[in-house]
Amino acid sequence: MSTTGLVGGNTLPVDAGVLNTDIGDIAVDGILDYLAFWIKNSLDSKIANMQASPTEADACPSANRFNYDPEDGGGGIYARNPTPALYVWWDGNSQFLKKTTLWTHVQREIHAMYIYDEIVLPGDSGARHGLLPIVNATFAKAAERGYHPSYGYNGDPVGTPIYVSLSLANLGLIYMGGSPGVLWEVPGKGTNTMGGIQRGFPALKAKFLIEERIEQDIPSDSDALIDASLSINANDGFDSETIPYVDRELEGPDGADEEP
Amino acid sequence: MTLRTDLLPVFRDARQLVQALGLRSMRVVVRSRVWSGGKVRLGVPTDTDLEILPRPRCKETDANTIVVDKVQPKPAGVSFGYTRQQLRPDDDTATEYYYVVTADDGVERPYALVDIDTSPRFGYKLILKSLNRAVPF
Repeated sequence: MSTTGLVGGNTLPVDAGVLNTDIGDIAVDGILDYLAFWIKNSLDSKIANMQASPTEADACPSANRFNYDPEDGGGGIYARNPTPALYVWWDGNSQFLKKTTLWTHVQREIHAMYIYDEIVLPGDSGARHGLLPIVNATFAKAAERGYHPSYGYNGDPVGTPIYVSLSLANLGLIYMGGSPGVLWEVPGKGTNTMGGIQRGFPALKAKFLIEERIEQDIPSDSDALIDASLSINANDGFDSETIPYVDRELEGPDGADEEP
Repeated sequence: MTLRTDLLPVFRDARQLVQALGLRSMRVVVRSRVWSGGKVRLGVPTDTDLEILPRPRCKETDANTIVVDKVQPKPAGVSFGYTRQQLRPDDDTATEYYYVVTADDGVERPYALVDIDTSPRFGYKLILKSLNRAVPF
């Protein structure tokens, strides 16, 4: 049997590839790229028309997309990273699903967090109160549609479904929902500023479910297409004697088992 | 007139002297940013700066915090100094307030006012937290 095979879009063993390149997780990298496209598609026109700052002409700049958990540091988000930003990562949860006799899937939870530019509260909340619902709706639509007529991942023709590009089973992404909030980093509240102006980063944390099929063994030249015997025996549970039900000879194509 | 109001000009002159000697290297400004869209961060901003003079004393207590003190008070009947209202303006729908501190490297850095102590009679005290969340390394 061949030792090379796919799990979802990831080929195992991982190809050495180009010198000094990342070990990619194709599902995470692809979903990151796909969701970023959808966010820009949903929001770019509107925020560019709000004039608030030059960065807001782009709802998800390509340099602000990260394939790790922004809260990995444990003490809050990675504040050095610019915003608006999109994070997509796998949190380590997965489940092994025996889907059929032939196919086994690995189900993974993929998380996403969209973090917008800092806002000033309470004044700024009114101008952007619809931002996170729109991002939530965008995620839902992106998962439901599974493609965008103007988008193709990594050189694929535009309109290619994301489940095709990423080799996802079950037709792609399942959106599990999102929860909005504001990330309050420093500055903290002082003793004399209760009720005062606060600053924070509006964010939507969301979860997707994907399934990746484990590719079946591919017969290699040495073990494929030769004559083989097949026997099925059963016993009645009282002694070791078995009764043959099937005893067949499975013939390969003519000449397949001849010495080369 | 009170002893306090009599002494405030003395404190001011002394602080001006300290500044003139180059011992107050940090410039502290209260910036009012008015947004043309009628709400904060909506539209085009216009800034108005109120520099605190004589320059107050600034001490960085950690990577993101500056304690500013020796801010000249302005009680009723005194024509110079700063009121609590000027240092901590009220909320306004279209105006964003923050502090800008410029150190001797010339770089402007934004800060939020997180605490203010107006009880010292001759110099208010402010605590500012950096709006740049990144800590060193």
